Amino acid sequence: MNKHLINLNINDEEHRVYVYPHRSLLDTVRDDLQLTGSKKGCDEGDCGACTMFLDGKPVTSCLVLAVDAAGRQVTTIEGLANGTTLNPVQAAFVEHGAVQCGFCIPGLIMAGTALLNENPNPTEEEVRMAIGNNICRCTGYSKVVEAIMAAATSYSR
Amino acid sequence: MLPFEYFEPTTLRSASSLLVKYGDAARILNGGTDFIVRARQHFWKPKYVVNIKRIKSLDHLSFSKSRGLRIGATTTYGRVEADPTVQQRFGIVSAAAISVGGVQIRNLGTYIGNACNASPAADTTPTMVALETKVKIYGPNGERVIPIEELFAGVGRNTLQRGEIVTEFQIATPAPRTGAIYIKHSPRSQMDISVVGVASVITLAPDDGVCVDVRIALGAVGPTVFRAKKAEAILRGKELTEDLIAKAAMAAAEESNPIGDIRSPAEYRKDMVEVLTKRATKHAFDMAKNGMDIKKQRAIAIEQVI
Repeated sequence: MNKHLINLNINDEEHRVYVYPHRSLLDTVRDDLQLTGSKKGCDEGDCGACTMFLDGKPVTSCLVLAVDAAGRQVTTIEGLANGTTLNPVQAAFVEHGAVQCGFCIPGLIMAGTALLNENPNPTEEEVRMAIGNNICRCTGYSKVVEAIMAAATSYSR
Repeated sequence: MLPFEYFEPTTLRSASSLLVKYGDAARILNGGTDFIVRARQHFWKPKYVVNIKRIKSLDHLSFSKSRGLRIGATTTYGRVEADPTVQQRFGIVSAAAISVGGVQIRNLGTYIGNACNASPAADTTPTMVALETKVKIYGPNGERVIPIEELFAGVGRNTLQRGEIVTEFQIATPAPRTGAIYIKHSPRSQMDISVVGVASVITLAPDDGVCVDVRIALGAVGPTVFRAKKAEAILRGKELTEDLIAKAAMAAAEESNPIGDIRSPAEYRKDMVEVLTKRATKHAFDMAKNGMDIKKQRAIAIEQVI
């Protein structure tokens, strides 16, 4: 079986990678590009820890083949901050104590950011729906929801 | 995942040729939410993978009164459920979509792929069956259009022939005074598989409460999604009352043939067919008379947690 040489656009940077077609976007970004912010929790789309944006939409990157992401815009957790300035969702997670072990956090922040990008003034129900594809074992979600609601009040696109 | 050779055809013709050439050793890759999981489990072991997402003509979502709603094969749930026209005119299509997976899954998965995967518990299938959706298929022998029920052969098996690719779903514009409701019965409001799924579509006569058409489709209670025709016969042509709806719900339960499995014993599923057919039909009746906000339709679809 042959490898494919593809262009991946990650956080507005072009990367040329040489991958087997069965390799996931998650594995490629983590292991070949050393962007380890996205986590592998389940490798089957259930936990959301691997969430990235594909053309601006949140997806579970473990279910995307790297070759399938070629030529499209990929955003990872590493792409949210502006230099050292955290985005409002990241800042709110810190401020509201929404982080415990931290493993699910990149995925949750991506999900929260995706929501606020589309709906800057969500209800609590809409926030819970938006993080419905993310599992957290530590927090019980209450601080997470609080943080996203708080980030909404200071959100500007 | 076992290695495979990978193709990204940009035309239906080349995609179909690849599928013909490699036959059973080939598999279509669409959204990937079933494919990748199955491939990692080695449940599917394709040697040749044909990604159809670079075929631009397959990505579309359009509506006209005469042609109805057309959903392209690679159009994601996320796009369909958020579309204002879908929400306004085909609310059940939006409501059923949000009962599938979660946000991230819905930005990858597709209506068409879900149907072709042919799980009897698929959440969008009862809706598609109840709406009498037509399926357009492209193949080496030309194109054909079939009613969606003919797409399913059994558990996890569809009726597509070698080289065939489903290109779109066609859903006719509902008649005025039509209410359509889907209820998913599941332990979670997101990220779980339905224990029972009920789609109920009621069309009333222009001036009164007589039900001129009714379609009730049941999911997860038989080897394929099916219409509860005996239940429908009880309601069709009659003035709808609480009592009549209850009778129809009982008939629907009798028509269902659920298995017991890790998600539920068979008896519970059968009981819930009756409960949820009654509930969905009452909501659909109310919606046919008074309309229903899309938010409420969507909430009803996922509210029923065990």
